[in-house]
Amino acid sequence: MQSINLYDSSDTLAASVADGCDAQPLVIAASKKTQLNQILERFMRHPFIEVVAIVWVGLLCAGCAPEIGRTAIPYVQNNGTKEVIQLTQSTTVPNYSGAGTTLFIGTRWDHVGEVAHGKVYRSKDSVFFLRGANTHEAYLVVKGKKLVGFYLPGDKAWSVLEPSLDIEFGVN
Amino acid sequence: MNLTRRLLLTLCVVAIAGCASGPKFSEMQSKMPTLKASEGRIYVYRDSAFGAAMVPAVLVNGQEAGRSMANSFFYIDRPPGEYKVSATTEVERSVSLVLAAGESKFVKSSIGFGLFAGRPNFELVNEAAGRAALQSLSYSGK
Repeated sequence: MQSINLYDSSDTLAASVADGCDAQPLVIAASKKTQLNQILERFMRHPFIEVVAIVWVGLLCAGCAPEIGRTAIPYVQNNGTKEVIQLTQSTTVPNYSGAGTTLFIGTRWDHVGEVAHGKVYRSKDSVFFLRGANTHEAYLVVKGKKLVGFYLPGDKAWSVLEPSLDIEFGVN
Repeated sequence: MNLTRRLLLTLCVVAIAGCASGPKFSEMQSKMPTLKASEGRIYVYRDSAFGAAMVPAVLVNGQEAGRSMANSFFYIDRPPGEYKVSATTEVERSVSLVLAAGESKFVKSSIGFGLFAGRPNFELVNEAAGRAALQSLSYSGK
């Protein structure tokens, strides 16, 4: 029959295992435990520990952006005349990438297709993406003079922008 | 050698092991095959040494295409379509993109802070910035 005995006195932490034979008890010196406790206590009492903890949690939370909401949507590619729009005013889209995503003045966008919610425009000068927990290449979805959401071509999905934003552009 | 020195030495060895030692992009460029008209190319690069010890495998649509090593790049040619480039450490992170024939896409990977280990991050970069970043990087592809 096997018995395990663990006990912790003020002086010693010891574990003894007996399996019917003459087992030797394993004893960890109390001084080592005390030393570890002292180091830990000194560390926890350090004046910078709270700052370090706050910074660490902050950095951790910064990496915990929520995933971008999206739903699958049919997309019709524009094979006709390629309309190009140019933004005449910068617009910051909140709720993405934490600090927001800016569509800069002067950037040009190709009309590449349609979804049920509006015309789809792909960045002509750069590559545009949205970043939540993951990153998604994104096209603008514009209805009239409103940015109503994004088409995510890599996911074949639609991501709604609520509320929609006014967007100023000229057509080239 | 005391414990601190051993620890520092171990960290240095691990960090160096996580750095690419292949040829530079400028040396590689002439040897790289011309992109077929029916395919696109995805470049994946990491231009920072932060978190060098973390070398996660990079998957393209679930298949390992290379590793995200500090100061390195690799590329993969694929037919046009939708692709998900992903890597996993303590969490999985990905970038979804669409690739057209004859197009090159540039994916910048990095390692961010995590709870127990650095977390992978991806962003898309335009061609000019991507090519500029590649110049100083070493090839880590197969």
